[in-house]
Amino acid sequence: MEYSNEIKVGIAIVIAVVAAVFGVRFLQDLPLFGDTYAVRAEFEEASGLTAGNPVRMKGVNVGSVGSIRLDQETQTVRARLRIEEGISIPEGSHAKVAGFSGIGGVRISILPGPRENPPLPPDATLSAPPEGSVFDRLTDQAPELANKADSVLTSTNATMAALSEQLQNPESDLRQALASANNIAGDLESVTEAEKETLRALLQNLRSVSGDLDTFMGENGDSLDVAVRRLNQSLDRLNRGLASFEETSATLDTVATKLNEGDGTAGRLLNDPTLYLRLDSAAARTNTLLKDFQRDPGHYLNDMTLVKVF
Amino acid sequence: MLDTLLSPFRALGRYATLMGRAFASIDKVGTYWNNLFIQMVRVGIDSIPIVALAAAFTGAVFTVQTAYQLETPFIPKTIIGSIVAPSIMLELGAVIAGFILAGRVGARIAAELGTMRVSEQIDALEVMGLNSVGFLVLPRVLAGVLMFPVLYVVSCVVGIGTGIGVGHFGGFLSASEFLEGARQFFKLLDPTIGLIKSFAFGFIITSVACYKGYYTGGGAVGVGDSTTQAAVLSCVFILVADLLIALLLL
Repeated sequence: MEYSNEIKVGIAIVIAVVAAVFGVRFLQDLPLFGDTYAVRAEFEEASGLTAGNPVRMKGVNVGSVGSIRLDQETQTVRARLRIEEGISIPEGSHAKVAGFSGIGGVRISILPGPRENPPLPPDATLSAPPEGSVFDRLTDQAPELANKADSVLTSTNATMAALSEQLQNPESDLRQALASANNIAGDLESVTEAEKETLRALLQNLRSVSGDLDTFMGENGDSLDVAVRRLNQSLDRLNRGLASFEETSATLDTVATKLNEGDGTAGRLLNDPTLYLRLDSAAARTNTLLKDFQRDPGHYLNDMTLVKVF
Repeated sequence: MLDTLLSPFRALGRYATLMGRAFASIDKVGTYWNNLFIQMVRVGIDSIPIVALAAAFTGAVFTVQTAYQLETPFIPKTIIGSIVAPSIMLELGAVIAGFILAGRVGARIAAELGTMRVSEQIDALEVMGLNSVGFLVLPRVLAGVLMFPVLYVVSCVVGIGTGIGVGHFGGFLSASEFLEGARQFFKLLDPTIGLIKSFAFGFIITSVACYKGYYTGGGAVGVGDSTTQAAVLSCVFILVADLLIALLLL
């Protein structure tokens, strides 16, 4: 089938246009078939941002920068962003320039507002986040800091003036306190002067006592050594005795426990009341028998075999 | 001596006049409608394979050589895509296609018109009352201006596509790394300038070739000279126009 030149040219142009449009959208990282809507953003500093840079929300690509220009009147950077249809940005969101231009990673990062907020309408403007850099915050707070520094200096000045006045006034408490301190120092000096001899003698005595002690230690070093060794031996023995005592105490404890619990003969002797009852009954019977024996000894003696032998 | 000095101005004047005559008859382009489409097929459609082939090799070689030059751990591989894709869109796509067309289309147009001139066919057209410039020159120039952007798109798509393919299968960088880099640095201005260049180059190639062919003189040797000059001058003017557009638009 022979195609006419018109058809060939038409098909080539259509294919080229479609390829160009889809290619550009593909490289812009925009959906090939989805639509986009525009959102504006304002910044103080673009940091190398150019048209085509990605727009990310929570780290996900949601569009690209359409155009960027400097507003001469307000000296702010105005960017037009193309956001994918279906991505809603809540009201109260902010946009900031992120990344470094040195390695080409500049992008716009959208900081979404509260989720319950309604979505931004097309052509709405995103502002920069309220907090700037440390330097910006410092710049913002500079007047306040200057005022504070001023007030601190003023109060320091007032304090110094009051101090000076106190020092100059002879009736002031500060002057009196200083005078008292001066007196105390003078008294201390006079006392020291008066007792100088005493103090010297005291120090001399202390020194001679120390020397005597030293001499004594030098002369009786061996005896002291022997005494200390013996004391050590005695302490050792005492230790061993204490250990043996502890052992005995533990054994006694065991015996006492057994007695309490009624284990063994002694335990039963202490804990079993039947023996006592039997002994009591035996004592009572013996008593009865002795009484009977006293009353009539012959009754028992006649029955004794020994007596019968003789 | 003066004649030699003035000859470039004379040539520029004749060229401008020829183009003026050609575009003056643009209202009669409907008359030569069929001729226009014939030229669009010859200039555009028939050139697609050779342009695609040249773009494919350019994209492939450019990717491999950029990867070789940036073989350092301090530069991320994505930068290869950031260099190759914008370069093809901004410069290579249009210039490579322009050089191919200067040789293929420019030489053919100059030879066609030159032969028609030396065999007095153009005179015959004039005698028959036809506007030879409107009939011969305008369709060819319009075909170049209209079809060169198509060839530019083909060149870019094939060049970048081959760059991605060679980078991926050659083990230099993955397709996703290439695209990440290409997207990171993509600016709509790049293909826009490339497209503007393609319009300019299409006009330069066809108009210079038409001028050289239309004013051929001296028989078969003259046709040969015109053909050679058309190809060479087209290439030179493409480079000059490339620089001017870059200076004006970047």
